[in-house]
Amino acid sequence: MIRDNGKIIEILLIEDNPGDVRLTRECMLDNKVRNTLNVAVDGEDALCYLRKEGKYANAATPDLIMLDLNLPRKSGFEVLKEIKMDERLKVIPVVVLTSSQAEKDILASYSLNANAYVSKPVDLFEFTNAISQIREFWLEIVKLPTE
Amino acid sequence: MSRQKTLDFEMIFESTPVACLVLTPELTIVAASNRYLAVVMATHKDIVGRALFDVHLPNPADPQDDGMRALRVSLDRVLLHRVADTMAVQCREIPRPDGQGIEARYWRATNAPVLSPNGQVLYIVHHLDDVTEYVHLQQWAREHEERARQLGLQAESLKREMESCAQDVAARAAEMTRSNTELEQFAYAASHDLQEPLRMVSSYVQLLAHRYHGRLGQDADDFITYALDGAKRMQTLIADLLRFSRIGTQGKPFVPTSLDAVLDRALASLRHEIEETKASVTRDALPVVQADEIQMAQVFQNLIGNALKFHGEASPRIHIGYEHCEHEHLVSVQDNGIGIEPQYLERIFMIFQRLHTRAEYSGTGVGLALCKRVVERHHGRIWAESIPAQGSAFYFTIPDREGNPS
Repeated sequence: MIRDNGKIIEILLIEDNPGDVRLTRECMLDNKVRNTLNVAVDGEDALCYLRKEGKYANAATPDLIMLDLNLPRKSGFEVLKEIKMDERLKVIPVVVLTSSQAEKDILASYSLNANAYVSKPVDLFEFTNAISQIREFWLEIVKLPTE
Repeated sequence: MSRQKTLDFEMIFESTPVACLVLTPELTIVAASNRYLAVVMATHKDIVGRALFDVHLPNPADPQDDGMRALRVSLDRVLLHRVADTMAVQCREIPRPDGQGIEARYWRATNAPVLSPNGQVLYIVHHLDDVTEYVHLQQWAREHEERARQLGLQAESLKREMESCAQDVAARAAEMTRSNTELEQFAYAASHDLQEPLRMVSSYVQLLAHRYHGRLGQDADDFITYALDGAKRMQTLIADLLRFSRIGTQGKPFVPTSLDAVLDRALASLRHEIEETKASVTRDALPVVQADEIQMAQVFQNLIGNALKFHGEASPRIHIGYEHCEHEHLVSVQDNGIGIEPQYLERIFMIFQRLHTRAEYSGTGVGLALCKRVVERHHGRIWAESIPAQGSAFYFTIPDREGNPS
């Protein structure tokens, strides 16, 4: 489904691994739905961005957040918790995108109200496929609350 | 010496097989039984009619004549209190009944008063009881008491040692469990944390291959291929290691599990390989056992998968057998494949041990180590027998009782 309102979807990717950032960026490039991928490399930075603090005063509110659990300093779980407890931020869908396949991580994420949990596939093409599907689902099929 | 008309008490007394003396209150011997005479080795004439303490009855076992002194004390007591008095046991040697020399025997003397109707002492009967057996028994008992006490002490000491050993064993078992858990956690953490950088290597080498294939020259293409191959193998190794490390930590409690159903599952998942190799699989009926269903499936899948993989020229013929031995379920997976040389029969269960190059047969060498881990978690044993070029048989046991997973 092609959105015809011309709005650019804002995505916040919270990921410290530059390799993964690049891969994700490549995959999110899309002709059908225009989107901007903003990157925060750790949890503190991400929350500043979301709360439009300091240098992020003019930052756009993301329509979708992709969150890696494995972050330095503040853990992905803590970031998820703070987002979902914040009145203004909790409506933003959060897709947890992480290397872990541990059941306890999955359960913990959904318990903290993650909207989706995706294990990063080890194979490159499976990875790009997964990102493409995330893109298709959340940007083309799903209605986002900020529309 | 008067004789009675009815009973000749004198004769009866003298013949009675009891060593006895009859004394007057003045301690004159007025009668002696034959037995007494034999014991003291004297004749009737020697002692009857004489004062007791005039008669010297030597007793080599009593050189100080303590016995005589004790006798006097006892007799005085009897005269005074007019009740029987028993003396301490004395030793005295007497001739052996078979005439072959003398032997030491033990005697307990009792002095009993014979009282007149008005309570006066008429006579004192001094009689000797042969208490030799009793004394010997006492001695034997004392010796054995001492021995028993010693044995008791030894038993105590052994018991303490055993308890100490048991504690040692328990401590070591606990240590091993802790160590195993740590190892598992380490293996899990290592595999888990290794996935991330591996993904980077793997993904970007794949990107290189994808984007620059044919554009950097043949050497580069080759290098990329080797790098990719290495990365893929490492992925499989890490995944296998992860699975292996989770056997304990992700193991489920044992429940009654139908091994027939588990086997069905395993065969279903190997359907493709079975068709490809045109394998024939036969099976005995399998029991219901206390087990972790998923882990048992892994065991069957690995063993049957191996049987399918390591076949010779002929199509694989595989038989899953079952036997119930004393307190044990014995399951076997037999094949007609390439077999295993005897010197490798134990090595194959070690992790990452392979007997073939990757060109010959695929696999990381974790399958059997995983089977061993699972079987041991179930308190069983696993082993292999084989005749090279004829086939192999893998056996594992599961105890037939309510087990608790480790």
